[in-house]
Amino acid sequence: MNRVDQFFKNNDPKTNGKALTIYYTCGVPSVEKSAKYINKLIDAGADIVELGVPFSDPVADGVVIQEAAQKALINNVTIQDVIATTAKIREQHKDTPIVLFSYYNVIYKYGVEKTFSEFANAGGDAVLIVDLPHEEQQEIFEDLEKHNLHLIQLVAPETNESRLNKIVASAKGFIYMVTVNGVTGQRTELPVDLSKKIQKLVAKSPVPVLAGFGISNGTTAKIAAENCDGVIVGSAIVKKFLDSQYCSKNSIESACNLVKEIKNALS
Amino acid sequence: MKGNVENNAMRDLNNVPDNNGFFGEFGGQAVPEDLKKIMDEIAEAYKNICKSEDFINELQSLAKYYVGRPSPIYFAQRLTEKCGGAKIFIKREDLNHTGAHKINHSIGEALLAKYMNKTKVIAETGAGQHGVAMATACALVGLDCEIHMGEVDVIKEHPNVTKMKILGANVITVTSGTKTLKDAVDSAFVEYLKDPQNYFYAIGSVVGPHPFPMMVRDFQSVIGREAKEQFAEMNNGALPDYVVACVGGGSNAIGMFSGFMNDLGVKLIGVEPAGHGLDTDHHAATMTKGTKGEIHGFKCYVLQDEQGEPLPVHSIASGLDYPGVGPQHCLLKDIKRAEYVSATDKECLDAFITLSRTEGIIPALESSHAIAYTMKLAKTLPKEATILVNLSGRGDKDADYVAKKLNLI
Repeated sequence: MNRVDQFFKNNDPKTNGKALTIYYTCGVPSVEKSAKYINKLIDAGADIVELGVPFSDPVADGVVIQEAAQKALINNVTIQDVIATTAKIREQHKDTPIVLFSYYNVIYKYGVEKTFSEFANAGGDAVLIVDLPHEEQQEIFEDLEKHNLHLIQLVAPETNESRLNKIVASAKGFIYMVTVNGVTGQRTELPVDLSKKIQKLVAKSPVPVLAGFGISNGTTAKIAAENCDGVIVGSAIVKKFLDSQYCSKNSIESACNLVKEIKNALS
Repeated sequence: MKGNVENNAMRDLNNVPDNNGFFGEFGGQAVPEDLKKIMDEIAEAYKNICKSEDFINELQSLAKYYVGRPSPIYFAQRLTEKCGGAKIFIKREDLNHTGAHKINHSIGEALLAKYMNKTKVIAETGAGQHGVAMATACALVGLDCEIHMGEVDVIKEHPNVTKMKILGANVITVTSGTKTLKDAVDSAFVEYLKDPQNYFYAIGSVVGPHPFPMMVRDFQSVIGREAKEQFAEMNNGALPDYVVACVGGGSNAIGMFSGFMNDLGVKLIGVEPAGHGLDTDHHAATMTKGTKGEIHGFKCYVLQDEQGEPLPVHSIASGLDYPGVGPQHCLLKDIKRAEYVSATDKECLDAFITLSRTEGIIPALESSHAIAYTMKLAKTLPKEATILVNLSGRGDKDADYVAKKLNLI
């Protein structure tokens, strides 16, 4: 069974809390440290890891992840490094689901089948391609299935009924519910009509629903997760590793504390 | 048999893009889910509004009385004699209000924004040409205008920044990343996504996600429509043997080509910037040297490295300095309806001076690429052959730069 499915099958929200997925831009502050830090964040309570492939034109991302991507690219981080990092996480954490988070061009250029095959061999479980809308996903389904990888679907606040039905029909693993319009990044508050939209999606979805975009602490996480199965936190974590160039012990400690705070709020 | 296949492909050219915005395998909407709905809305609104009589009348009236259309075609006799071959005809888009073809789609986009009841237009600009055209169009229709421009370009292209401010636009200086066009695009996107219900993002060429490559082409197709009629009138009903235009994103070229798309006897030629040379790393010849990929929300040929990262590009003409290219050009190349060639910085400068001194027309450095290839081509053709070249903009903005470069001052 795919580790994503296995996780949700085994996870009892009453004892372990709802799911916390963390996003981490691979290569920040370096490739070596990425694996080391992600392993620590899992130990601190992260349930699922979205491993970000750095890209120079991340249209869905806010300033924090843009900056992280740029730093990683300066470090010459490639998709091969991201796959190698996957393997290093897998060595230490046999069951933690790992999602490859990428823009399509990087995968397309490296080779769709090659990417999926190498990522699956390294211990990866699912793929999220942020700029490949539902209409254009047909071309990669076969290769995904061949390597037993799930494609994580995104749903936005404004996604209309007919598209929602189509997206839900092909959903596997979990659905990423975008909580706010705009790009990734921390917000001080979440939209008021969010819970209705989440409830509507949860009612339709055959797989768990996680809410992401704009979640920065325990309070926002608790609100976002109220009617769904957990949250995704990216910018708030990545930001910790951007504050100083030679990101220090403080960064990882502070990131682990944030993970603990959010995980507590979800329990 | 092969001819038939190609003819069928040609016939399809009237019907591109398809409903999902694809020109063959190029184009589309490679955008995140929340943007997808917004792009669909713009496509839907455009489909309805562009058919409405009010919109068509207003656009046509502005084209005539405000922009000064139709722009003339001029027979360049002295340039023809100098080259000693084919007759060279020049479509004078440089005579439009604001001095370039960009005003054609800027007014179209601003009007569309107004009809969609948007409150603010956001745009990116590199050299500032699209920015000035957009600021002009927004002043004209009465919309707020916000232009994002990299810090490097703000310093380099200061006269255009001044113009935008005089026209009432809010100019945002972008200090992230390389501080140039690519970062201006990202910055404009971030602002746009804050309130897409009330904002309109006016893309500056036939690039970006559907419907922009189609919409900008439609607004620019006035060039080709006029040119075909004017040329025929001057030449006893004949069509030109060659039509030449420069290609960065490709808006002026696609506008010109669209008038001749189904006239298979007319050879269409796009001229890309070869910069310091195609065998160097300093060019922006996307069609010639690029590979298939995705950039800024659409599939096209891209100058990219093995990791799929866009490469740094170079051209003496800032307006051609882009690592992607309009999806319809990619299709035209693949089905061989158009041919894409290139001209170096040096050839471009020669053409800039030659046109200035033989015809008294100072061309934009972008358009000088088209002139450069036209001069080269004319020499190889008999005297009865004809070339129609699109002079997409005037060179006032480049005058100081060229004069310094050639030690004229």
